[in-house]
Amino acid sequence: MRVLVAAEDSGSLKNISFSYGTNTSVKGSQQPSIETFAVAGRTSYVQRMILLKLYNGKDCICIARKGGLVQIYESLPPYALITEWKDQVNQQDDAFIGLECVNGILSSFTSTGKLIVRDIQSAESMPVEYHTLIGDPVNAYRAHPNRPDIIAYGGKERELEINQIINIHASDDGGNSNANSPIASDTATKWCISPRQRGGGHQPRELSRHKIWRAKNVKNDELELRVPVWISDIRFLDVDRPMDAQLINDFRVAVTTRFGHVRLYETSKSRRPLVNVEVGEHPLVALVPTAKDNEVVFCDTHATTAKFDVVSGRKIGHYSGSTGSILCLDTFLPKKVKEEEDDEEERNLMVRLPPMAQANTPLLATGGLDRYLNVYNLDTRQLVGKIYVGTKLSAVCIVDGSSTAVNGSGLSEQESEYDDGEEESSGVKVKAEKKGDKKMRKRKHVDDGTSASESGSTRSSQTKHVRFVNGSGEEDNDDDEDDADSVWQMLSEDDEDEQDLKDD
Amino acid sequence: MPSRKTKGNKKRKAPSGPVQKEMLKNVKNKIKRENLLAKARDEHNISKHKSRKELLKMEEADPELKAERLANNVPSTIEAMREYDETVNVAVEGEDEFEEYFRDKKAPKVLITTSKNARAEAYELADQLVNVISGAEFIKRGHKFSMKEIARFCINREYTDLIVISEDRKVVNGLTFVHLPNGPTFFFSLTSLVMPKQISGHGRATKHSPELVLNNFSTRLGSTVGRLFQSLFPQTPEFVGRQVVTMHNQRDYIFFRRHRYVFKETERVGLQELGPQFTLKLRRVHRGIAEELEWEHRPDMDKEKHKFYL
Repeated sequence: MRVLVAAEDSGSLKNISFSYGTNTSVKGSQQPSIETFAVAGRTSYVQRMILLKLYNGKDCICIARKGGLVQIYESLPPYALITEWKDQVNQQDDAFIGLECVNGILSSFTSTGKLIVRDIQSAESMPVEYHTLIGDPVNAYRAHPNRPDIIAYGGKERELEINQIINIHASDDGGNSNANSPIASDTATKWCISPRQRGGGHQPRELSRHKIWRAKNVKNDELELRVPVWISDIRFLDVDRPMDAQLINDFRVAVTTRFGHVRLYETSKSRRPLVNVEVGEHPLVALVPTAKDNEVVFCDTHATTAKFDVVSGRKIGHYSGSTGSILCLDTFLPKKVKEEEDDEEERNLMVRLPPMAQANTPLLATGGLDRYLNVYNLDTRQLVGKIYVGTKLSAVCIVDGSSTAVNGSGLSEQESEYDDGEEESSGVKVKAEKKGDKKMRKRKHVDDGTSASESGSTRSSQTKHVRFVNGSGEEDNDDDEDDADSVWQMLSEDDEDEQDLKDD
Repeated sequence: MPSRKTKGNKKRKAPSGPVQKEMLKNVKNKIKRENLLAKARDEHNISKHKSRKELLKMEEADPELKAERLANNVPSTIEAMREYDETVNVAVEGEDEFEEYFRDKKAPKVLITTSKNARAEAYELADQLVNVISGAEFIKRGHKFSMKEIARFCINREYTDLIVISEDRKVVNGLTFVHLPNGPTFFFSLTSLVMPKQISGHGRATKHSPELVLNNFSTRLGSTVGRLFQSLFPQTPEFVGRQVVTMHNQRDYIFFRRHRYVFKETERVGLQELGPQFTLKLRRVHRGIAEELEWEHRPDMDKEKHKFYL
């Protein structure tokens, strides 16, 4: 397994390769190999890091440093610097709050609200910069994982808003002069940025965007007090569902807040969240989607990382083991598993294998202030690897999720690795798991109470939804879709928010 | 007020082994029995002293014997049984928030205050701390401002540290250290506070900035705590004062002591305690000014007797 982490204390990147079951807290355990590169000091530490593929098919990492520097490095040794540029960062405490790359369109977003977009697939050397000012305060930014022209942002006292950038469009139906980009290997639709037409006093490099949808704050609380808004992270969920051509704003978006809420918006249904659950008293920091459309993983400022069902509004379980606040999450969702979903036999085979020996285990990597990199099995929440890095981690990326170290391969080796892991840390792990389960049972109990009091409508849909989740494995994908839709129908029909929207 | 432990409190235990109480059971007369026991003990002590003298003589003649004895005599303490920790004595990578103090030799400027509605003992300790930390000043806590606000005011006035003494029911029970301007924030619980006047034979401290002895801060978290204490004192102590502040970490308890030393000979050093004495235990570390949690002492950590975090 290979994980890239960004060290906050030294402003460097680290390539950590290790095999499943590595736990550096156990004396005499296997040691991971850690290579440090791109050292730049604490004053310009890496705030965001993403993996991307360049125009020539090269696997790279793109990092956004404090101070405004954006760099692209090779993700394999010797980690050569490919290109770098400086995105204007005005103030000293200005920070990158988003860095996204969708279909070759790289976008960075700073906390002062400046969105900078570059087409890295067509440009070979220095990509041309396009920008737009959204204005502060913005604390969260996310681009739609399939459509670079759709962006969502929100922040302190700033409601979630989804915008469409007009300048970015699919090049096959655009047919303009910018479409002479070198063809990449994959068959995904090409997107390109076209400069704005002159006139109206606008600069040609300025992007024009328009609002598609804007959220509305939740209703006042039981004391009739306004609920404050402070969005900390945004994720588009269920991104592969067929888009209705008529509905331009048909998105499912999950949001975490600094006030401990997880919210789920269905933009075609309502401006208020369909699900709004306070999962804890501490501010939530980050959110990642999982392979299932209804499940997300969030973390807060007090060392809690948990899986959450956004439809039923229930916490599924904790990823235990960290002592300090988690700052960054990353998931590794092997694509093969998705493809094999239809093949009954293959799936059964995978189920029979012990969870750690699977080559295509979905993984979750967490890193934060306790200076450990923790890697979990996303489904079972079991600890797969725990590595002392030595510095606080500001970003993590799982590059390779296979069970062996970079050079090793083969099933037998994987199995032995699995055994090793069990021996080394089984006692501790099992204990932790049990504890987690107990807590979970308690929470469930509490949750039941709250959800019942919240609204009858959510309750009724919960029971319906459980069936949908259980059935999803056996039925075809299409049926699932229908079932899911019916759930959404239920949710929205019963919801009073719908009424409010019409009134407005 | 916690009372000072004296040595006389402990019951003297009869040395087991050579003195055989069992044999005296048959003696019915109590006074006779006591006499016999005293005599037996006396003999045992004399023989012990004799054997030690012999051993000393032998070891003086042959120093190798002593080395061998010391090498073989390793007591199995809890420290020796400490659980493995990969962060112990590993070189610190990168910089942290205390970098300014170490790199730029920035002189510390410390503000000491108490919790709201503090009582006499908190002010006494504040007095003592002002005396210990030469660059510190005390400001009385009002009702108006929260700690975050106070920290902000301190940043504006270029303080490097903020210390808040917490007091509850007339007992000082905690110390909060906020390193400024960017944190981190530490909360320690405070126990066993002994004021100088309660220490027999205590000296009178001077305003000289003391030398600092930090013992056993070995893990990564420990080194952060050590750096916090370092950053409270000026980098070059005033040696004229002959004062030493000791922060001794043992099993995650940090013992604070202050002494004056005098070189009686080239080999021997005389120590005079100046006080105060107290014991700290780290409870929480936050990044920034009480923002994200970096480390927290959880109750289940107490279950692991051989695991230490500092």
